[in-house]
Amino acid sequence: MGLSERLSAAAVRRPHVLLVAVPGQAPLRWVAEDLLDSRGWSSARSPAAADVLLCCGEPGRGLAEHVEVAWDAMPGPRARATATGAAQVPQALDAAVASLEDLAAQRRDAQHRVAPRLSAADSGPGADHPADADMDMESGSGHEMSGDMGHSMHMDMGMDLPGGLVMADRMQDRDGLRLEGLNLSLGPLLPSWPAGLRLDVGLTGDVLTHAEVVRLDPRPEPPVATPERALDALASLLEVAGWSDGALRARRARAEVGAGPGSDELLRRLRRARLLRWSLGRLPAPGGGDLVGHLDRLVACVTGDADLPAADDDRLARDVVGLDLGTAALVVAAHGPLTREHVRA
Amino acid sequence: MPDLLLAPLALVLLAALASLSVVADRALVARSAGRPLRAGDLSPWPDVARLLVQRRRTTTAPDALLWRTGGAGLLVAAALMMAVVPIGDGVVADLPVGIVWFNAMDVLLWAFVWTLGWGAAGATSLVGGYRYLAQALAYELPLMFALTAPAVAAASLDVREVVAAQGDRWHVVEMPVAFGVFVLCVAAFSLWGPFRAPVGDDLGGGAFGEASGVDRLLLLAGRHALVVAGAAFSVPLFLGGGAGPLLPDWAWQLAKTLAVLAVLVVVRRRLPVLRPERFAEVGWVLLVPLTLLQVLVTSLIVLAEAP
Repeated sequence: MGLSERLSAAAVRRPHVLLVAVPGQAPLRWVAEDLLDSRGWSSARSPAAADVLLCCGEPGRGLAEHVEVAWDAMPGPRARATATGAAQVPQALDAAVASLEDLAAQRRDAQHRVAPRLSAADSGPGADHPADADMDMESGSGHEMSGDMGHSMHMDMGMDLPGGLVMADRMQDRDGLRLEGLNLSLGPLLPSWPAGLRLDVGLTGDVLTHAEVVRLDPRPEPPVATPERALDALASLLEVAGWSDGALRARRARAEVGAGPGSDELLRRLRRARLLRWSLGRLPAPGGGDLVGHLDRLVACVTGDADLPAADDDRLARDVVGLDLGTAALVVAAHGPLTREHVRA
Repeated sequence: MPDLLLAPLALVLLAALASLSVVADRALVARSAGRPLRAGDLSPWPDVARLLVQRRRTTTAPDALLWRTGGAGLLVAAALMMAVVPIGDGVVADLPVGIVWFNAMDVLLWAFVWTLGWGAAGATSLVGGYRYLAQALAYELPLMFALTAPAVAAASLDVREVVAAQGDRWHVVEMPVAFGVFVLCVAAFSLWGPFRAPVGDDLGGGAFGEASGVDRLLLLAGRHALVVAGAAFSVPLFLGGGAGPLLPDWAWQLAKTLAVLAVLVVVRRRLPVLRPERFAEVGWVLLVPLTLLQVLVTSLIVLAEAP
């Protein structure tokens, strides 16, 4: 066995998988997440960190565009798969991993890759796409984002900047200053982000000046019991809040279907998680109140003492304005699993 | 033994302890996931191999020089921090201002993480870089004051003189606040656990988000190496260096370093990320006055014990 074979054999033992959540297919995503957890594999945070792209369900047209962009941004060796049923998830994943090991195929793939496109629709701040991996707020170079943003503030100054970028326009920031503004699309392929949700925002510095929620291929989720949905909501919120251990426990409890010893332990920790509560304080939550109250409500949902709050997209769009990019992602994560359930198709 | 010969040893130690921290971290994750502990599951080798095989990627119009410099910088800064940590009787670089050197290396990280975020020329990457600066504004002053306390007690900035000044009464006894703040700040400058907001999931990886392949390997290795270097530096400063019964100096140094490292590894996944804007309050309202008080108390002890 040569060195490169040995290397690539070791390299596929723990692949990082970029999971694509498809609207209406939450249970499939759960199966995939549980599978990764049980194998000790990681879910990739951005296309740059991913080896495998796994679609949990067949993506519709809107989402498929973003999937292609993410696929283009993956470094390689790379593989992709789509699972359309729970039983298919392990097979799809295994087949994808096997093709990672096929050195000849990977070399062919690398040779056929084209230079980054600049005009494609953008997908997410993880800079999944070369075209959004380019904003340079300080020196004032932004670029035109996807053409479907009606409110694009972009102005072509007729000046060519490196990589075909164009100058940024200026926007009013929250303190009444005029700063360089960027139009950016967040999502839908971000970690723990609601399936098919894209947030089109204007940014001055890292602060959101306006936001619009776009639902790609909206489809209602299949009916699932409240405790499981609440645990899923907790897992997303905790993951984005950076408490990976809690998120992992929430996913385990979700797999054990709601109340059980696993969820009891998690809920006990959540009730006394002072640091988490302090860090989540003062942030808007779906259905009013702040994220700490939301956390308590989710905990009550798991034990069956409350019902999930309904969230609406208009409210979300209003809530995130004035927040910074990362905090906005946290607020979106809190809205996510709930809005998935309340999508008006 | 000429101290320069210690340099390879210091690097080996850095690599070994960093690998150990990865193994321990994976073991904790496996426990939380309810998986059985298997050697293959714990080894860092598959991750390393994966990143070695993975291709490097680039972005549209990156500032390649700054991006790659920042990427390699974390590991370099960690290695340079190790240079002033006593190993056995020796030290790689016996600087009369070792404490300032360590501090300078940690300030260098400001530049590295920022150029990393800037160089990738992506929005979230850049926001991640700025977040690190915001976070640094909150932890840097407390860190400097925490470093000042042992220097005041020993009346020297030389790390080995700080060790000698402790004798049997370790600095941690009279300056627990400085020790606690120092360990906290090690996590903060290493983008570790609750302080990983600049590379957080909410930003899709932030300053690290665009890196792949060997570039990412350097970043992740650098992060573990920084935690190790910080833990190792806390030993001569606060925990009496190699002092201890029976065992030789190096064994005590290693044992104490491992103890501090263990705390940092356990904390890593158990605590949520502190949002930088909230941590800034803690830094300025709580940690700065506390560490200043600590320096005052230390100075009073020095005066009281002066012959």
